[in-house]
Amino acid sequence: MTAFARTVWVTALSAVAATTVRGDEQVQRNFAGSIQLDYLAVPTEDVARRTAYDGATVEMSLKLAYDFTKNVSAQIKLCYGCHGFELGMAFFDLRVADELNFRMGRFIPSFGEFPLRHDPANHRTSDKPLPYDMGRMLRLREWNMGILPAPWVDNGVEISGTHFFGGLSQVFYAIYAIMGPKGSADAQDFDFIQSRTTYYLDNNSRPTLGARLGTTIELGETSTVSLGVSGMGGTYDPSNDLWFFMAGADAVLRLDQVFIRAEYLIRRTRFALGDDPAQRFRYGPGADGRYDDFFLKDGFYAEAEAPLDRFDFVLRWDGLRRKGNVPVSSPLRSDSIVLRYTVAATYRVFGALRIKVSGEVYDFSDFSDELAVHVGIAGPF
Amino acid sequence: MPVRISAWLLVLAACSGAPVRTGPELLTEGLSQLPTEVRASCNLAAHKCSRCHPLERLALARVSSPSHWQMYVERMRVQPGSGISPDEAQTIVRCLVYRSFGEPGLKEVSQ
Repeated sequence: MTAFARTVWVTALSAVAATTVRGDEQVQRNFAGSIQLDYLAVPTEDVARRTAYDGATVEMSLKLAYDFTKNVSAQIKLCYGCHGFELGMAFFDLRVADELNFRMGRFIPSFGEFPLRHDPANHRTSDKPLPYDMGRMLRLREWNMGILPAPWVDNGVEISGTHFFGGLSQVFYAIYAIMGPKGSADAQDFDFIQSRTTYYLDNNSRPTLGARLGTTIELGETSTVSLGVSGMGGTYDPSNDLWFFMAGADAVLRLDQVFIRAEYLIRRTRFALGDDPAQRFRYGPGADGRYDDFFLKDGFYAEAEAPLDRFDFVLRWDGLRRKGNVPVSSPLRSDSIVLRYTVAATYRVFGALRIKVSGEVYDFSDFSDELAVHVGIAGPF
Repeated sequence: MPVRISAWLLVLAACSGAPVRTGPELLTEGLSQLPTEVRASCNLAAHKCSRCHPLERLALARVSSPSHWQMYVERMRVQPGSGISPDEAQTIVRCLVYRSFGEPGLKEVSQ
């Protein structure tokens, strides 16, 4: 038996020993959920359905958590949204130590900061930052949504942990292997419908690997700064030819109840050129006579969130950019940008029930600028 | 349109005349003669828990016993990036247990 294999066995046995249920410990259950009803109007369009999923949408989640012991828990989350019912979570957590936690099942892999707050009852705007958009942005089809639609739910295993340096700072990490996004053999980008469609099975027998590293530093009793970097990579086609790499960086400054957040994501995605690229792509080959077989998509958001009495206010600036050849039918250019400016407010009616109102100005490089208005109500239960 | 929205907001403001709680006081609302130590615990709970979700989530949680709160907070603590240390988790639990079960609950988690 090699040293590596011994280490794996010892770690696994330690995990089992540390997480075994004692006879005197009682299993505890929790039921929780949230609902958001949002109405999206696009006053600058006569028939906005051509560019967006406007009108009323409902997002609902129901979560059941089981705490078997202090070291073992399981969570199952059922979501209902634009896609109908989805399995949002179904995993076990086995905690050996603060520095070693195993998560197995279907979960949201650690990438970036926003996914921590992806539940509509946990963030103040009606929609998500553009890099994490899952279909509520205008021109979603032309852009194929964001860079990593949130919540990204996937099957796999994640190992994570946190090391605390007294009460002043901590470092956390996560590494994971998941199925990864999917696409067809002649794909020109991820196929997000295929990626979330049942059956929840891998399409290429090879895992996508990812990691996240972050730190939080206390700046005082009520102020912190958190920094993180994330990465993910793998193939997304059935033949394992089409690679993608994704990276992100995030920062959150908290000053008492005021949050200032910023994130940047970038994805390099290889696409299939096919037998005759001239027929498939809008732009011709480069100076060397060859077609590039990838595109770059990056995006960012910066936002400030502050409470005032029953209100919370959010100012956000976010954007997406795509560089690279496009399918012959795409209205995008080889270098396209969308910037968005959002002003949002929530009003706490009672308990945790909030009315959300926001206005968004879209500044497209390839289309007319647009105005979007959201009015919604959201709350946990 | 802006006039209508303003009118609606005014109506809502009029309907909700109760005092506004947004920070740590949301966790101590309605608790009389709160021990100083528990008040400090609730300040910490408000600071740590609101990083990922609104504080009202804590008020909505259904827990059946003090030890249930311990497991609940532990599960939250080990979420990647929660920023809650083991010592802080124990402090947060004292606030939540006091809210749910009062002094007898605190004695149980102190044992």
